[in-house]
Amino acid sequence: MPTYLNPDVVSRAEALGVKARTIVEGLRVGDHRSPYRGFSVEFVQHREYVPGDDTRHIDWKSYCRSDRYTIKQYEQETNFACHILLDASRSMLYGEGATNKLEYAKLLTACMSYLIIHQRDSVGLGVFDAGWRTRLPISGQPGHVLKILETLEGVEPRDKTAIAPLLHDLAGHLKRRGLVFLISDCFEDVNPLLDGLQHLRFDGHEVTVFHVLHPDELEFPFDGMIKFDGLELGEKLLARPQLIRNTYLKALRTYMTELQKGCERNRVDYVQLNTARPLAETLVAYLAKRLKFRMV
Amino acid sequence: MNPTSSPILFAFFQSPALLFGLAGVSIPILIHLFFRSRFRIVPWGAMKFLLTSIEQTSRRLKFQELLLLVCRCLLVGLLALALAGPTLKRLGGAGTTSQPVDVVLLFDTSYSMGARETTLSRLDEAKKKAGTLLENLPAHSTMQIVTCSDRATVHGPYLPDDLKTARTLLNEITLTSQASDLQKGIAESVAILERGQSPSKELYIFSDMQKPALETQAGAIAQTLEGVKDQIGIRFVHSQAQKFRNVAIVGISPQSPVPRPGERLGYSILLKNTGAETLTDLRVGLFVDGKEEKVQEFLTGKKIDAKVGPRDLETTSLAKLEPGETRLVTLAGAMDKPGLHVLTACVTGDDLPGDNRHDMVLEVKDSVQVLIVDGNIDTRDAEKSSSFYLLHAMVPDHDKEKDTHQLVPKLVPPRLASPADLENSALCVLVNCPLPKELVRGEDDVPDAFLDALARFVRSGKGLLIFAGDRVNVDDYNRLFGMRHGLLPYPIRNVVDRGKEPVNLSRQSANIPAYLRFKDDDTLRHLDAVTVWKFLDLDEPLEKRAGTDGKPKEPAKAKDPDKAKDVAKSKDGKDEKTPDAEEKKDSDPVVVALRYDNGAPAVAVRQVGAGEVVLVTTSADQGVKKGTSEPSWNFFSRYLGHMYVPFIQSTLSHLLQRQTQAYNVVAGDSLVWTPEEKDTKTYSLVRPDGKETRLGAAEKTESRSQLVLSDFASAGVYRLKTNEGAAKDKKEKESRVTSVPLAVLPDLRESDNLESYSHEEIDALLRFSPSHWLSDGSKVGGEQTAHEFDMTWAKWLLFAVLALVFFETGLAYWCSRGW
Repeated sequence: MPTYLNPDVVSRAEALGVKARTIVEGLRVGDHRSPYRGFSVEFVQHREYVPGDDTRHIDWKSYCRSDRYTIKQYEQETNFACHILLDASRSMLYGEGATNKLEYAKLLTACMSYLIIHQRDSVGLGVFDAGWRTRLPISGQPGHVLKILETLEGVEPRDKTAIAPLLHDLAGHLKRRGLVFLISDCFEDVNPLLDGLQHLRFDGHEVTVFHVLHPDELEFPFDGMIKFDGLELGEKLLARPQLIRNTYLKALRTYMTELQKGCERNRVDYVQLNTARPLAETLVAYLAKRLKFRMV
Repeated sequence: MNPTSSPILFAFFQSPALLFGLAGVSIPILIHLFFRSRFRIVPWGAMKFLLTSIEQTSRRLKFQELLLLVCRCLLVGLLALALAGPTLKRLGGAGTTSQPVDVVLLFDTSYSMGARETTLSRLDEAKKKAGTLLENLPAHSTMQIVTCSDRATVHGPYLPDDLKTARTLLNEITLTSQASDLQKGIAESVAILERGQSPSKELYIFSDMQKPALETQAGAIAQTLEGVKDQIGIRFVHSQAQKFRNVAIVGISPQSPVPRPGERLGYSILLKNTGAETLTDLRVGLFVDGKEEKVQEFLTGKKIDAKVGPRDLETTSLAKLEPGETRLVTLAGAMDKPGLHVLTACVTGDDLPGDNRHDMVLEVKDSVQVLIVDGNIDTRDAEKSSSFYLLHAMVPDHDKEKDTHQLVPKLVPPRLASPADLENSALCVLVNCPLPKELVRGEDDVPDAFLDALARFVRSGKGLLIFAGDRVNVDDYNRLFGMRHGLLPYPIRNVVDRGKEPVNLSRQSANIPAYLRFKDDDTLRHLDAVTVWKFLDLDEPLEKRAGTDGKPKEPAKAKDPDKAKDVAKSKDGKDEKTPDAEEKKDSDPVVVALRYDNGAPAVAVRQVGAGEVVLVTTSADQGVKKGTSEPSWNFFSRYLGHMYVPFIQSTLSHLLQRQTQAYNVVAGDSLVWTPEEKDTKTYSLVRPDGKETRLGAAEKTESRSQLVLSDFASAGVYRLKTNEGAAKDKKEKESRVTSVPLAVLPDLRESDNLESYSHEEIDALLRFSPSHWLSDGSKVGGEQTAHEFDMTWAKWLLFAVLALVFFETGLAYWCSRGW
């Protein structure tokens, strides 16, 4: 049984942690900013006392200075709920061994889940292709990691990708603002996908797209006469790759540029994952970057 | 390219076996197919981008792929061709060592080739061109010269590679007076070439490509040439297609049936402009027994010496003759002694001399007896006899001249007619003559013995003229003259009585030379006014009548049946006439010489053996209704005497001249000369140019001896010399030599249509494109054959290979960049 919790990845990412960069709405007290005011360490403002307020929070020093009852408010810190969406369509099957896109995505999912739960936040998992295949509810229990790992073990690729409707569906179900991690090769039309992401962003979620691509897909290094066998739709195409390489790369670049710019426009994090690169390296770079920039 | 400097080019491969390398063309294709079938399968997720990419590039890629494939195939093919060593040789060129070639030069020697193109005639231009060709032939080549008019003659040389003799023969080619029919010449030439040994064969056809020469046998020519076009290079060498002026003498017709000794008589010379341009200032002359030199002088436009007296030559001028116009010119001449004389009509002032001369042999007699059998002789009132007007038409002043006139009519009633009467007569006329009935024999009927003798009389070459009348019984005529003796032109259906709707004669329907004067001479226009109430309705085949369409046929040509004669096979037994002409003569012995305006035959003419029968379907007199003085048959003899006399004269003239037709022959035809008695004479033929050919003795057949003369290629006056037995000395020998003149006329079919085919029209006729050249050496059309390139193939092919290599490399690099 392959273990998706790679110690190298986990140990290097653990130090950075997964910090919510937007305001999240958790149920418990945690490390992340909450839209609600509470009684924590970070002072935010004074407010005039109104009957019913807890008298413990009256700022008596202020009363001495102004002879008015004021309440001292502090920023409430809460935990976040993270939804990891894993694409398990047949197009994720491409690649051998460690460079297999689905395996790479699973590894990422497991590591992220562990990190989040480890810092006492909650995580949920949705595995999809053309529809939802498996959904694990939000939980912050340490044992939830095991459930996620078991689920990942059982994921087999099938069917084609249809992300956009699922994003809309997810946005409709999420009550609290949290984090959404989309791990996919995103081989579908850009505009519907961006619409889905925009919907999530509109609901206040922090969204990150992990675009998983195999180096072959990025470089198209084939030669000779090749019959391409479509993984999702079953099309077959006999071609000389060297003759169409340029046009293929041009089409791919155009698509990725559109996706990237769409993500930027919607303030969605876009992370391109080349399965040839070690996950630890890519993930640490990403987490470090998150720490630097905090969104409002 | 000027073919005079490179007339024959020859292409072959030095190593033909290496042409199998052409199979290498399939290698790039096989490689292409092999690589297409050898691929590896890659499961692919990002098909979306791949499909977009293919959509954008597939057409371009396919084109590139095809272009590369074609380049590579071409490369291999050209390389194989270059290795096979294609060599192009210019045969006969200075310093070349080209392979021998078999050449046949076919010359059209019909007299239209005598038309002057520049200073030279068409034939001379062709000979000049052929001479150049001969000079440029490579060593060991062979050449045969074939001439062709309406028959083909192989001139040799005897040894095909004897080019020196070939040159001599080339210069000896002369024109004939015959029409052209290239089919026989082409067939003969192809047969010669097929026997040749050289792999390279050329057939040069020098002709003016006249339409009649090709169109009648176009199918056979196309079939012959189609079969050999791949083995034999076919070159049509055209004469310059310029229009030229031409006048032809179509015929001569004496104005009296038989000329008398010393009598000055008018002769109608029929001229026709067959060219495309108006002719002016034509000079027409009529020689009587003219010397050949004088005739030639006249024809070449020289002034005739004053020694040629006015009795021997009469000339006149014709100011203008429009294209297609036929004109009669009347000139007079006199012949002093009885016997055979030669009339020669000449015309000058055009570009084609071949048909400017027309000779005619006439027999001059003191008197000619005509037997008239009249079935209605009225001894009390001669005017009521049916033959009364006929006699007066034959001998105009009958009462005074009947003893002195040249025509001596002998009138007998039918019952007194006897075979003995026929013996001294040149002509027999049956006027309203009853024939014996089948069962009951009348007292006035003609004796059977006379009828049998009459049939023999006609078949021996004499004439029979039949007039209708009230005593003519249709059934008896059909039975005796039709079925038994075969003398009637057509069966008679019945006697038609038009009553109040009479018919008239139509002078425009005149269809024999003797009647053409009615058609062309306006003073004889009243022939159309001749009213006919009753006539014999002949059972003329519908197709013949439909063919006339109520209109007259073209004026009689030289080959009209009325001029036809005993045509025999040539000495070698081969039929030298064209099948068409032969068939036409055999199948069409009847000519309707004159018609009524409703299209029914008025005068029908039929050849019977060597003689001729003329049936006039109305009566010789006017006929009288019983109890009245009104005419019942026609309004001709009595009331239109100024038409009746020329009509009778012309008819008699036709029948009597028919008897001298044995001396007149059209060029190319054969003549059977039948000596009058069995003897041991030997014969020789003297040609117009003075050359004499010995013919030997007459060939004896079962009943008579005969001599077949067939070598009449050129027009002019020939003389058949008769040598009677052995002579003691030269003087006696000369005294025993007699000569008979024979007039040979040009075949007027040749100049009747002078249009020539263009090279495109010939291509359309042949259904393929041979080479076409003009006799001045310029190429005018036809397929561009390998022969017409003057280059070394191998060198150019290697250049092409090299260029293709560069091109293919560049293309492959360019394609691999993928743009």
